[in-house]
Amino acid sequence: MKHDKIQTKLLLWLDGDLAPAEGDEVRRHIAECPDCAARSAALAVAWGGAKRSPRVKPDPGLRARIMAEVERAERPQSWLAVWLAAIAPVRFQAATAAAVLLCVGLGIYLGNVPSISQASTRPAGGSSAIGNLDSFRDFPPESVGGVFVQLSGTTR
Amino acid sequence: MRDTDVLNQERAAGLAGFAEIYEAHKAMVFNVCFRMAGDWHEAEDLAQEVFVKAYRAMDRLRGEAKASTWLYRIAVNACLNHQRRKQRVRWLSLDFLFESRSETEVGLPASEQSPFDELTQRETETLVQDAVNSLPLNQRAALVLQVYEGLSYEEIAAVMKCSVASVDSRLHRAKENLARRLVPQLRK
Repeated sequence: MKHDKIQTKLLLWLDGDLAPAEGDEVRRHIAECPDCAARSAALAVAWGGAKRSPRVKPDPGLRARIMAEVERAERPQSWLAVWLAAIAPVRFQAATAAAVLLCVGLGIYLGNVPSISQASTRPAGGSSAIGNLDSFRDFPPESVGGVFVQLSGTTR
Repeated sequence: MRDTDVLNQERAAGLAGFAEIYEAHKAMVFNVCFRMAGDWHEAEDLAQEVFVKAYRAMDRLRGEAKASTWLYRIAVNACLNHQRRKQRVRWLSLDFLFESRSETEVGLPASEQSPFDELTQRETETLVQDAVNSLPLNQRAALVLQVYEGLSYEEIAAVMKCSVASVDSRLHRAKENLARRLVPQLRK
């Protein structure tokens, strides 16, 4: 086995998790290779220390925070707070769906507005050289559309 | 409508029972959260989330054989979800392009060793914790439960709701990945 493959197996070997044949191969290599033997010893110290390390305990203040939140949860909540808490896990999806619905609704609304829907319809008797300029006839002269009509030379 | 006094008594009994559960399992839950997150403040937030979830689901606890298995499960799931959210935020913000590896300060209580030995031990513990932090999430969870909590393969399988064979596979890969990372960094 090559050095890097042996070193990958060292932790498993230290914990006795290797199959017997593989474990024997690692043991033989360590007996013959000072570098791998030294690294194995260092790993044994580090890994042993990790396994013996005591549990990390929380600060005393954590209990007060938790009990305060739990007691807050016991108080009656408004329907809005309850609803927001209920959708919290899927709030991103809910916001995306709401945005899509808003865009679709806005599109439908704009499509149904009479002045705009008429402006987008081509006149039945053919088109002028500048597309559907006839649809600007409803625009007052002082408006942007009216100025455009005047500049283009189209008579009203 | 039920009498307010009866409701208040039930509520007080529930809170008292919950406080007992907290005292009995706070070290276990916090240790799992710290070893999974690698950060003290994140561990506190996660532990708070775990216990609040546990309080809300206390009725379900009455049907569980062991409160510890149930709490381990809530803790591991909360930690996994937290790490996945962090990874999503990191990808979206492109922070991963500018990150440099930072060491995790392991807040263990002071020992009676000499200052030099204590520094060496802390450095080693930090190296190991950093290596654990680099593991894929499922491997990290299995390793934390086995190494830092001393759970058996069967207990880990019950917590992670997977087969013992899956636990074995995750631990095997976790230890290979840890060795791959630790061995080049350890002094001879």
